[in-house]
Amino acid sequence: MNFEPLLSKLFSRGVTSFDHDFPDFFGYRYATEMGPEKVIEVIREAGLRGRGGAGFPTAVKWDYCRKASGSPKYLVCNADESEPGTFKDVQIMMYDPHALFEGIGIAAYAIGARQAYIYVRGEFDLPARIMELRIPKAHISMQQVQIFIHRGAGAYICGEETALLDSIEGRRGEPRLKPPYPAECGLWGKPTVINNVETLTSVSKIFRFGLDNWKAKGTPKLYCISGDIINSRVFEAPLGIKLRDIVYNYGGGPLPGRKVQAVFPGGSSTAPLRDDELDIPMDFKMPDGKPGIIGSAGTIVVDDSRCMVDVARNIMRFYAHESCGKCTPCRDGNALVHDALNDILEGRDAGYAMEYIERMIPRIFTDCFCPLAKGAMNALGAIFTKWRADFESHVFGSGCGRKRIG
Amino acid sequence: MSLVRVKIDDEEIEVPEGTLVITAAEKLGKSIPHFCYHERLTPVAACRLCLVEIEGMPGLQPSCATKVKDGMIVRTNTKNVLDSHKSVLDLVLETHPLDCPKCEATGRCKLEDFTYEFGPHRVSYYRPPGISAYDYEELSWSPVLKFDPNKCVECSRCIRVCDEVQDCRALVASSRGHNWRITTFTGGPLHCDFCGACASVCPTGAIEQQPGKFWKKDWELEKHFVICSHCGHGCTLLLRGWEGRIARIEDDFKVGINRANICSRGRFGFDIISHSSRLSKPLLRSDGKLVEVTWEKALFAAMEMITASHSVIGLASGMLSVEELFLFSKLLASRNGKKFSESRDGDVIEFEKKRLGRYGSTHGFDQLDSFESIVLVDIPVEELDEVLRIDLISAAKKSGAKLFTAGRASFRLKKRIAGLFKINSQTLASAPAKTLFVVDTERIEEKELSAILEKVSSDPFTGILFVAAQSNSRALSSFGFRVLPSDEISEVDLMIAAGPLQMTERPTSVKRLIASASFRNELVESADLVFPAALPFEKSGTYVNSEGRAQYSDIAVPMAGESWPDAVIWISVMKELGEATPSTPREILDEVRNNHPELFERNYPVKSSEAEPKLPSTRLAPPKRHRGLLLDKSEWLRKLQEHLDFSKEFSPWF
Ligand SMILES: Cc1cc2nc3c(=O)[nH]c(=O)nc-3n(C[C@H](O)[C@H](O)[C@H](O)COP(=O)(O)O)c2cc1C
Ligand code: SF4
Ligand code: SF4
Ligand code: SF4
Ligand code: FES
Repeated sequence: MNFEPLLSKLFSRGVTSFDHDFPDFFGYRYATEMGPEKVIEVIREAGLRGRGGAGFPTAVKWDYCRKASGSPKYLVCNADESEPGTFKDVQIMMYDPHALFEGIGIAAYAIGARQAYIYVRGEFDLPARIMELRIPKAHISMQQVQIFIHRGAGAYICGEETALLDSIEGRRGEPRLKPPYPAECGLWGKPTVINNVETLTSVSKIFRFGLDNWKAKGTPKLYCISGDIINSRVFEAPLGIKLRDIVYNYGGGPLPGRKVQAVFPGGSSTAPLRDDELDIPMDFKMPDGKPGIIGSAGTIVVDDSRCMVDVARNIMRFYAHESCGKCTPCRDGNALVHDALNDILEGRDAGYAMEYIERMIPRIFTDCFCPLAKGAMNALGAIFTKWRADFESHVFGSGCGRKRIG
Repeated sequence: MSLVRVKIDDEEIEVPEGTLVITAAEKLGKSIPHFCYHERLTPVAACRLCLVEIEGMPGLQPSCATKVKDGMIVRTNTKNVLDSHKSVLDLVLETHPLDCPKCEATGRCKLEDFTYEFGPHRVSYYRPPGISAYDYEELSWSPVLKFDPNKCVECSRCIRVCDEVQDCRALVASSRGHNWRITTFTGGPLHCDFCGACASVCPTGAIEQQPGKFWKKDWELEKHFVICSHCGHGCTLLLRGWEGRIARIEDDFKVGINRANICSRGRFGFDIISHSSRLSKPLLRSDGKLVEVTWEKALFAAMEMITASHSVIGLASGMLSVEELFLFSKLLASRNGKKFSESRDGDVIEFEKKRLGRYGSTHGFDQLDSFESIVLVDIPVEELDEVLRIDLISAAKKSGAKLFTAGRASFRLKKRIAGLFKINSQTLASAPAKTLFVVDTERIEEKELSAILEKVSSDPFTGILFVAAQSNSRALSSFGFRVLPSDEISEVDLMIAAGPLQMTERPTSVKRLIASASFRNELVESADLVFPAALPFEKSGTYVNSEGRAQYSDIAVPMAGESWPDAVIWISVMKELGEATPSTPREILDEVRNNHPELFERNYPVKSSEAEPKLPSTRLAPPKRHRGLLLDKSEWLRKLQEHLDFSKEFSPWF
């Protein structure tokens, strides 16, 4: 790979060695000389889309917030990275926090915010401490913006932007009813932009290294690969590389003697693919215009030693546990579907459990309030249809006999 | 407001812009199941029970949180929609104990109703063996409220009513996912006022009132609208009872000026009616002891005492109805008796006549939200009128009115107070237009009010609202009852006390005391003659509230023992004395109206016809006596006959 990394340039360094790397914040200075409209224009031209999972065009969001009436405005950085299989934001926070701060400064400048919050996942203790130490220095160079760190208490749902806002406000993290959208009525009821860590870091890189450089590198993106794979890691590559490339080149392929059984392309909320379906690009859009599979770019590989029913159960355990409890389909449905999967594995009334799951998947998907349960049903629905034989072996036979997590 | 046309299941309807789809559907008579939606609360679209199809929108949309748009096409009866209702109810039922036979909410439970209407009619939900989701213990949150977590459908109505309406936040949600649970803020017993709003909005039997538990099923209970006489607000209560007993007090959003808000006194104070210390027979002192006597004897004794006395004074309670106070004042006038009251409220009618040139507050409780700022003139709002506090909060929250205080800040309103307002002619001159001054009637004599009054009379957008502590302070003032001087009353032969009073002992300067009272208390013990008096709900009458709004309250339950309304008592005494007196409710009311039009003068512009208090037309139920005070059925019938004979004698009251 002769790809000179932008985003992950500093990842291989030690945590403490980069203090002097960012003496100037000149990306920020460059941006503030341009004027906010021009900054948004640059981001639009860069074609930057949100890296948090939804892939919403960043410039559109900023523009909307900038034009919204109401003041003060806020910028919130979503550092609640908790999608299973995703661990790229934490690297940025650990090894390149100044780039994040610079991105925050630029974004805040563009939308007209003076205060910015970084909502750090509760479990990220070290990254939060590192950033807390570095913020004073950023404040010296970027006097227009004040950055606060807000540490969550460890809830997946608090990565959802409106739940995150509630959490900052000191309330229970539960998604809010939309509209109004945060760009209009967000934190404390004021216009707010919420951006992922990687999105904001990319902003910094665009202004530091230039739009041409950014485009020439094919809009760099961080990918995570993990699971039953030789080389679990975060790496940088252009947007839109093939999923097969990720699994077999960057990830080094499955463990010796194993075959790839399923690949969750963009975190556990995306529908898993079989080995023969991997020749598709990791992008926000498929070539045929359908929504893309990139998600949060946390690719998880499952090899053929595992029982897919068990994988499904494991996923459902996560979503049942992380459901915020606001809406009925997700609160009760996830837990019951998990119980039903458990029953299939334990051979209790498995036929009825199958029927139940089949009935509940589309219902939870359409009825639930926020994308959490939709994501869960995405993954479960795909496993349920594509690995139906696995399920049937449990229902009609004595099971597949493969490895279970628990 | 402009109207928009929507089509719901091929039926068209025109509704004002901004109406919710669920409301529009309701207007067409279509029922859409819902748990989390409540007309008093902001929609959260959490329960997902009300989903409908809307053309041009993806998937299913919550009808409780979607506003209608012109030309919108809504479908509430497609397979997808009905399946979704069924599926959500299914999920709720899965964790529900289904102990409807022993649930107090049965008959008014939304889960019951919606399952009946929409299914699932077969137990199709998934209940894994060995897993019981409904084994939480029932919690006693307070003496009046209990919570059964198993029956909770997690709609969060209770949390929202406590936060949004009561501004109290005594309830919170704890834990997440399947373990999502309502809990008190402290985790232990409730620390709040026990207003009971949470129990009132709970769609199931999860939060229930403790009194009235397992007395009667909901459909066995009658409904009566009555006016509460605990304070000057004049809330309409929906009394639910059977055979003369009260099971509980409910609220109705559409009836009354209180918009379904009721304070804890109003909601839970009803059991005084069947209190064990209620008087059931007249009491006459003979040989130093009070003994029970018949009404004939008691009235005769009263006549004797009154005719034998040269100086008479009367002491009236502000909790009596207009008619009763009128008759009492008539009796006193016939004996040249001085009229006193115990009320802390000042002479508001006199004040209005002299200083304002009109009667009643300039604006009503339902108009608070038309003001930009509201100044609380040294008034402890929640002590005087808890429901006014709720109205003020709603004005501050919903329409952005700014609350200021001049003088004491009300403790429960502190959070909402925007600042201090110092009253003097300068600040008043620069006060923003649309300011309402809320004035404690106790303090109307104070001089800073003059400046306010000037402002009010010169500026049509400035308003003044007098807040009285008692339900009929205005009538007291109108009939000339003056606050009892705190120094000793000069030597009098006879004092007649009417209604519930705080006085605990007969003043030493009073030689004799006749009292009408409902309970045996110290004052009664020191009286020479006691008439057992009926309580509100047991009698009809008019109450003029703080605003000056006259409201009529009807009979809802029969009178205890042999007690009579004060009106009947004072009419009987006057008849015994040979005085002329009106004797039917109509005659009395006409006479009051003719002589005291100031009590009936204010007619508040009511915003919508729904807000107009609707009281049932006179219901002349056969008088029934309290169960607890009855011996047996024949006794009851005898008393009934007696009762009817007695009432026919001078009043077709019943
Ligand atoms: C259940 C759920 C969890 C989410 N978790 C995260 C997260 O951990 N980190 C993140 O950046 N975005 C997360 N998102 C996406 C955010 O809601 C939001 O789209 C994103 O922060 C916007 O930033 P972007 O435009 O920069 O992507 C989550 C969304 C959902 C529905
Ligand atoms: S789908 Fe419902 S319960 Fe689940 S996280 Fe979203 S709002 Fe909460
Ligand atoms: S009784 Fe009233 S104040 Fe107390 S929790 Fe219920 S709603 Fe809140
Ligand atoms: S207790 Fe009642 S009102 Fe509160 S969430 Fe549960 S069902 Fe809803
Ligand atoms: S009533 Fe609409 S979602 Fe609950």
